[in-house]
This record gives sequence, structure tokens and C-alpha cells, in this order.
Amino acid sequence: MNQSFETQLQVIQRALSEVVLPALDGAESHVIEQLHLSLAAAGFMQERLPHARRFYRAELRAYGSLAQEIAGLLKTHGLNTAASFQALALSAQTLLDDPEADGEDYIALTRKIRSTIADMIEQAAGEGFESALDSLILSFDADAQLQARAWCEPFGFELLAEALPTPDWLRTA
Amino acid sequence: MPDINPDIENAINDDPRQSPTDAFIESIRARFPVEPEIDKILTRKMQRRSGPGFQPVAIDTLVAGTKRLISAALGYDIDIRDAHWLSGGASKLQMVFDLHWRGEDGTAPGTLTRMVLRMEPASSVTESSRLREFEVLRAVAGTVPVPPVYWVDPDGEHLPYPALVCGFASGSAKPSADPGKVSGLGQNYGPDLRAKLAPQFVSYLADLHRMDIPDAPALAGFERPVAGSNASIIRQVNAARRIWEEDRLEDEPLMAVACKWLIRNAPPLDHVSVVHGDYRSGNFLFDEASGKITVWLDWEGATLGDRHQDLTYATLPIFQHLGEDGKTPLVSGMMPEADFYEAYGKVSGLPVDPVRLQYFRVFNRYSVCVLLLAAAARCTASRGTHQDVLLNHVSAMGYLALSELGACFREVSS
Repeated sequence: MNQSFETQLQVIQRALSEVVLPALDGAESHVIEQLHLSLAAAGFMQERLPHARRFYRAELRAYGSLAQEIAGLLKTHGLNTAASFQALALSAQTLLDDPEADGEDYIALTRKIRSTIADMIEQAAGEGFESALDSLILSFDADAQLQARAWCEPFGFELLAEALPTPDWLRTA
Repeated sequence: MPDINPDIENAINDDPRQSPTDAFIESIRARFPVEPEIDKILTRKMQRRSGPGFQPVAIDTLVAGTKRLISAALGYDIDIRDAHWLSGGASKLQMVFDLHWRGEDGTAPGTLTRMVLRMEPASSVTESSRLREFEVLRAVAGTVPVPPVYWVDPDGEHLPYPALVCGFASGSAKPSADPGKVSGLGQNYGPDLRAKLAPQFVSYLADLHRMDIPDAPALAGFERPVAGSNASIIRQVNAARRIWEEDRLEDEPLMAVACKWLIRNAPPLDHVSVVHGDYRSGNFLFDEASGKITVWLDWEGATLGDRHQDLTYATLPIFQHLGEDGKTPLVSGMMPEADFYEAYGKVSGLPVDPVRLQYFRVFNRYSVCVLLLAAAARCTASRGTHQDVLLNHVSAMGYLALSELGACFREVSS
């Protein structure tokens, strides 16, 4: 039997916190700080690894939907670039339907979609559809960033972590 | 780049930002014009990015380089004793040492002075100019408590990377009751200490913003903004946008929307101030017994510009914590936001303009997103610093910052 990621991370954390840290009494403060931060990084992985695939799929699904909406907006303005966003939305759905796809595939396509959208926002400056496109981004962004914040919550930066909505990718674990 | 996930390695290697060509560097320079000294620093960052990542520097190397720097400046040989690393800070390598010297002109009796060397690592979360840091420390001395600054090696002539030498400043960055916070983020000083620190926090900011800008040749590394013009603000937005384009690992549509708004809505300066650029909890030292602020640190992001930049930076949510009532956010661990602006207005005599506050709330949130989601993430991924684990940690605040930017932006643009 191969040990799970959970166990691997558990042994790292126990060794660092229960053996290494006490042995560093009197060490320079930046050494202690780096150990605490290493423990925080391992703790983050322990909490989020079980949810990673669902999170990456949720991100891709959301950006695929946004690409679809942008395609619709551009089409109403008679712009040929609508087709490239339509293609991105289709690619997202194809990848989500592929049982062999893994996290890196989802991440790569999500990045591609984000990058294409950001380019379009710049190109839209002064165009008739600029305001509608920016509004679409702002509307989409509110939920997207809440999802990303929930992902990073184990690092402990949220003032009111309990106020964050519980995302689907976490609820269905 | 061994020992990392091959997929991530490929993504980094395919990224034109990780091994930038001259054409790539020039295209970004052309798109985002900035102050000449900032341009020099950012261009140098990109040119050395393809080089080796951070390599530990032996302290003997720093001692030898520091000796060369100081001896060349003084014109006589000096000695360095008891050199060791100094903890703290996410962006610079720091060495504390005793300088055995005979004063600026070499005629004083031999004496020992405690000093600090601040040197850049191979890459830094805040790529900044040691020349500007040196100049602004000289300019504000006497107005705000700062370490005395002695010598600068702006281009790494004597040391492996650009560096400066300043006096050692004593004091605590964190209260002993709450020592666990990273770099002052969410630092809680507690009610007693807070009551002593808060008035100083306000009055030093007011003093800084009211001071006269010294005439040339002081601050030669800074462009001189003109009251009534917004050109300097646009250059600052360009600098942030340039770093975003140079450093980001992935794009964020909201950043493109916000940048357009910042350019279009940049307000003209009503008064030119020295702006600290990183004025917040964690960036000053204090005497815990008396509650007196002994020194203000981290001037590397200083600029000449609009006071509202510092005002809204100090109030960023990432520097807040909740007060003892469990519901009132205290800006930089000091006081509620409205109280901060009111106290500043009274002490400084300078107006606190709601429209400019609104603009710089967006500006600072945008800049913090650049710092966290682009610069910190890039440094970490490319193994660029001695503090990668710290930069990885703070980059996890990036989406909190981006979410704050979105919320703030929706408010001001509605």
C-alpha cells in the first residue's frame, strides 16, 4: 500500500512542529518564521488537496460561462471576435466533459480564457461595447473572487472567514 | 529548474516573462512610460531575470564588498567587526555590523558605529531604487525619525547587488504580546500601546506631507511633479501596470478594467508631498516601554505625489484588525478609518478630499494586487529570493486584495 498525500503531509507537519521547532529554541527569528510559514504552506495543502480537482473544474466552468456571455455581447455588436470566445467556451465544456482531463489541463485553459478576456478589455477601450463588457466583468468578478478567497482561506488572512460563502467545490467533498 | 512539477516548469519556461527577449522588454517599456530611475530599475530586473535564481551570499562576501564601498567613499581604510544577518523584511538582504572608522573626514578618533547594509537579492518583491531610497532618507531626516543613511552603491559596483548603508535603528517592530504576525499584517498592538502609538502615527504622516520638497540636487532620482497636473499620477499607474505586465503568472480581467479607470480618472495634484508609499503598521519601530516610535522604515517605495496615496494605503483592509468590540476595523491597528482621516486633517491642516480618497483607494488596491498576484508570485515561482516561503505566504492574500479591488471599484464606478 502506498501512503496517501494526507499521510505524507501529516508526517512533515509533525516532524517540523514537534521535533524541529522545539530544537530551534534561540535560533534567529527569521529562521523560526520560515519554519512557521513552511508549516502554514503544508497545512494549506493538507486542507485543499482533497478539493483541488473540483475547484479547478469550478473555475474553468465559470470562465467558460463568462466567455460564452462575452461571445453573445460581441455578437450583438456584430463583431467577428465573438467566434473566438465561442470557441473558448466550447473548449471549456469539452475539457470538463473529458474524464481523463487533470488539474493542469483545467488550469491551462482557464488561464488562456482569462488572458483572452483581458486582451479584449484593453482592445475595447473607446468602443461602443466597452461599458457593457466592463460591466459584465465586474458582475462576474464578485463571485469569482469570493471563490478564490475561499480557496486561500486556510492561510488565515480573512478578518471574518465565517462570512465567506461555502462554495460548491467545498460542500461536495 | 530541477525538482519542480514538470508541467509548471514548462509553463514557466514557455512564459515570455520568465526569459524575456530584448524585444519583449522594449515593447513593455514603450507601452508604459515611467520615471527614468524607475525605468532603469524595472529594465534591469527584466534583463537579469534569465540569470541564476537566488544563491545564498556568504556574509564574508558582504563584509568585503561593504569595506570596499565605505573605504572608497571615505578615502581611507576602515574595519568591519561583528557582522551578522539581520532578520526582518521581505525584500532585502540585511547585515548588521560595527564599523570601526574615523568619521567622514578621517580626522576623528577611531570609533565603533553600529550600521546596517541593505542589499537587493537576485529578485525582489519590490524592485526599487537604492538611489531613491538613499535620497529620500536624507531628505526626510529631521522631519520624521529615520535611520541615518551614509553610503549607497546604486549599481552594485562594490557589492553583488545594489545596496546602501545606514545606521542601526533600535526598537521593536511587533509587540511582545502579539509577535506572530508577518510583516505587520493585521498587527494588534493592544489598547495600551495603541493609545500611545496612534497619535504619533498620524502626526508623523502629517509632518511628512507638509514638509517642503528640497531643491535640486536633492532627490535627483525623482521626477518633480507639478501641482495642477495629473501626469505624475499617470506615471505611477503606468509603473504598476508595467510590473503587472512584466511579472504576472496569469492575467486577471478585473486588472485591465481597473487600469483603464485609473488612467482616465487620475486627479491633478493639489499639493506635492513626499509620499512614503508603504506607511502602515509593521513599518516602524517603537520602544515598547514608552510607546514612542523610534524610526520609520521601508522608504524604498517613496515618491513625490499625492498625500491621499499614503492615507488610503494605511487604511487598506489587509493592515486592519478588529478592535476589542469584535466589530470595528482599526486601520493599521490604530483607529477607525473615519477617525484617522479626521485626526490627520486636524494635525496637517491639509484637506482630506473625498474624491481623491476614492481614487487612491482604487489605486492602492490595484498596486497591492500587482505586488501580491504578480511580483510576489513571480519571485516565488522563479526561486528569486531568500524569502520565497514568505512571499508565497503573502501572495495567498492576492485574491483577498483583488476582491477588495473589485468591491471598491464597483462602489466608485457605480
